[in-house]
Amino acid sequence: MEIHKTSWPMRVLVLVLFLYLLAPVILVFPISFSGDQVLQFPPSFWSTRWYTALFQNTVMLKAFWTSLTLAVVVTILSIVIAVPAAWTMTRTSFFGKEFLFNLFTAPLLLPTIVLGLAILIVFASFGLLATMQGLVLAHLVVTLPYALRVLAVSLGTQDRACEEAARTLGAKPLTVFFRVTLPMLTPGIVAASALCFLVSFDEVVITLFLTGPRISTLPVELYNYVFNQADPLVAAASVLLILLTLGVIMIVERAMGLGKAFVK
Amino acid sequence: MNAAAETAPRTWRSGELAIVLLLPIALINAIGFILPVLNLARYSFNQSTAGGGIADVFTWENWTGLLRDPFYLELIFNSVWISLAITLTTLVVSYPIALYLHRSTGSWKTFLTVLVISPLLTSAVVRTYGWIALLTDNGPVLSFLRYVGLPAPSLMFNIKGVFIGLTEILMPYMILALMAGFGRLDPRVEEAARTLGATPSRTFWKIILPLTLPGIALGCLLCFVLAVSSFITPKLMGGGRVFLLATEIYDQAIVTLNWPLASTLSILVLIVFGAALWAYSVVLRRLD
Amino acid sequence: MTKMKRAFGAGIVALSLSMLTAGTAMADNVVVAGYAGIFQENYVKAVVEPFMKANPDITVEFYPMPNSAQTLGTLRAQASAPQIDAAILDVSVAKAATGEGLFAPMDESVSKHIADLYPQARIAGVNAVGVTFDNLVLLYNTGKIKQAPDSWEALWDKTYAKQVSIPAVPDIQGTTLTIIANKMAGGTNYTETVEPGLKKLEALAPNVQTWDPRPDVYQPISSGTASIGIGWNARAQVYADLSGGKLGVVLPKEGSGFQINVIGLVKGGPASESAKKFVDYALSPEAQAAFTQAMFYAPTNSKAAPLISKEAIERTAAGSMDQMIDINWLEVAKIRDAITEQWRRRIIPLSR
Repeated sequence: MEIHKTSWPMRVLVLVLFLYLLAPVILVFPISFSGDQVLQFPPSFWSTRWYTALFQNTVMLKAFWTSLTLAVVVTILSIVIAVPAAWTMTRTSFFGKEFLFNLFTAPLLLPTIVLGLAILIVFASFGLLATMQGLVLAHLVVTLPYALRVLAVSLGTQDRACEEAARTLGAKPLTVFFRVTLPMLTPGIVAASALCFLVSFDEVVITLFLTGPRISTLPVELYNYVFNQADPLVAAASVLLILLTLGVIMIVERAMGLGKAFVK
Repeated sequence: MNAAAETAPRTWRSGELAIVLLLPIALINAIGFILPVLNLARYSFNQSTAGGGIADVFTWENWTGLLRDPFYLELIFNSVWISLAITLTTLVVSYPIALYLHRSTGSWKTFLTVLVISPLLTSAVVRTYGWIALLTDNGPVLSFLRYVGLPAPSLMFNIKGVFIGLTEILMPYMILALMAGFGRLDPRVEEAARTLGATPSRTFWKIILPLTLPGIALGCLLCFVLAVSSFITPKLMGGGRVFLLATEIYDQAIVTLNWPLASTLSILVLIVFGAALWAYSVVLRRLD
Repeated sequence: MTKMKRAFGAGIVALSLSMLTAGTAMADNVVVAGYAGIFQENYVKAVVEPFMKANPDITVEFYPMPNSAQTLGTLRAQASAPQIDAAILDVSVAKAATGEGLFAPMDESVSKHIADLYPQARIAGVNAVGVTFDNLVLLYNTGKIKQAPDSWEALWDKTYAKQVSIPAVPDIQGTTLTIIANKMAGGTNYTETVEPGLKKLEALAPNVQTWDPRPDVYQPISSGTASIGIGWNARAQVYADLSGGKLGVVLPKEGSGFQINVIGLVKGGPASESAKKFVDYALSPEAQAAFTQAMFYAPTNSKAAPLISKEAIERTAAGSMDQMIDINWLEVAKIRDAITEQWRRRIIPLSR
């Protein structure tokens, strides 16, 4: 429907609501350039001191590298595990497939606070608390459903004609998969990777239960920092995070189109 | 797995290959999801001993204690109604945006969609931090209210701030769910109603709203569940007086280390969640 | 082609596995848990950094905690695989930690300085020794309250409705306030009942702006977000200076509660030997004097006093020992959880 049909009051209302929605995200940009010692808006003068402070904060830097490593490992493992699973879900039929698909995507439905506690209790007895292995496993629990879902949709909507043609021409199943199916799946893999990366990189509730003094992720450290300090350092970190996120979104947008990747 | 696929291309349906390919995801699902959740249910029947110890027994103590304790009954009641109120508010403020987005086209629509999704991809910690900056007593919101001469109640360290922050944090979910459900809303139907002389408000109540009810139901379900389980925002903005199920679970799990009680509360959250799902399915059935 | 891709895939898996193991902890990295914020800032400068300079082979990481209760929770959760080597926390909480076997024994084999500690710093039945002394004070914003209050009663003053900032239980400041309120309300022995104190606090609740001041209680009062509240003397003295006098600090006429922070070695901590070295340094006269000079915690080492300026000592708890209410923190340890429950159920809900 054309925009000009929307009445003026409606447009003003939408504008106000958009402002409300975006206010906290927009606000961190000016705050990050504050020169003040404490969090206040508007700042009394401008500076880049909090960016300098951020890059000198060893705890944050260490947490950033942990988060990055974690997100990369989790993303790679998610794709490696989810591609065969999604293929099985879309290219074969067996008894209980629906049930399994629902089971594998069920962790998404569970409130993260419940999942976090549940994982904490089990991991405590496995000795997985505050270990990289434990974090990877916990993050996989939440990223795999996303990866499986996106890849299954991607595979499900793929045109099968090429696969059929290749098979008729005598290609072995594995060849069909690697030469036909996988290349056609690239946009889906990119979208799923981006999604897994962001989910893992931003995950805070479950991770809060599993981190400790010797290993911690950036969102958890930011949470702790907001809890214990009141200076604009977190704003500077937030700006960089938002820019990183936007970068990843642009990759998804190029590969697949946003709507498809996020609307269920 | 290669051998199976190469020698017997026609026996995929046998399920052997399926098992091999699904094994990794099944293992992670079992270790990281099924086992922990079952264990959680079991823990709610364990006994907690002083100092974070746990006695491996079977007792209904946690459950009966919880349901007899007015403090926890109030906490559960508060959590549910606050979450419901937040869900409804989120619906009211999200609906116009979703409707507007549904009616926009082309790159304008893409741009707006990116705007809607961008907060979703920004950590809840960061957004809560933004709200703290906005809502503090000397912050821009209250300064503005005072400037224009409106009453400026304290918005931080109480349920009001949590309400405002959480509503905003849930908006993107609601908008996306609404848009997903707006598919049935054909602009021609609207136009037809208008041509036949219906007023805009009548068109809205009689045509638009009923057609978008499935989207509303989905969005409300999603936001209610997220509101019940959210704890970052109440923890950071609640001033230590906003006791909700999720914050209580965290405190019991991390500070007091009463895992049986935390487990019981978690299972309770799942029960509330189950009730919400049931209500959703009832609404959907009515709509069809 | 397929082979190449498979090799590539295997490479990715190998890479991710190698990244998995890269995150494991290094030896001789001592993690010390302690209070966040200004405490951390000054402690790192006055004690941790000089220690690291003297011991280049050891790195000390200060792990900030909002309060002792949370430290105890973390120690409990990690009991089977500790990540913290040493913890600085309140003595009553340390008593609970000792009872649960979370701390390794602390005696003169760990540090010879223990022999020089004041008697109050060596607590029987606690596997940790005093590292700082402090006391509770009344804080107020000098811009908003012109006449310095002289009594805790100022907190109950209706003039300051919704302007009072109280770090509630499980924070020890809440516990200490309970005992003070108990005495004010005519309670005689807090170990028997704190009921009069709890009743009195119920009347305080409607006045309270926040029970969980962020990032701490001193900054909102300095900035005027809140007008009045309670806090620890040492940190209050630092903020009084930092805020250019906007934060006023008063030791009320009713007296106050003396507080002891202890340092304990976590049983089975990953860097135990280096952690012992750190504890030894933390108790040394130099470290004690440096920290008192930096932020007005009274030293626990009797040999530190001569190294500290008179002005600094005067502003610590040591300068006002005669005004302290006698609090037996080991007795408080027994009733701490019960007090916490009562606050959550009876007092805090009254302020909604």
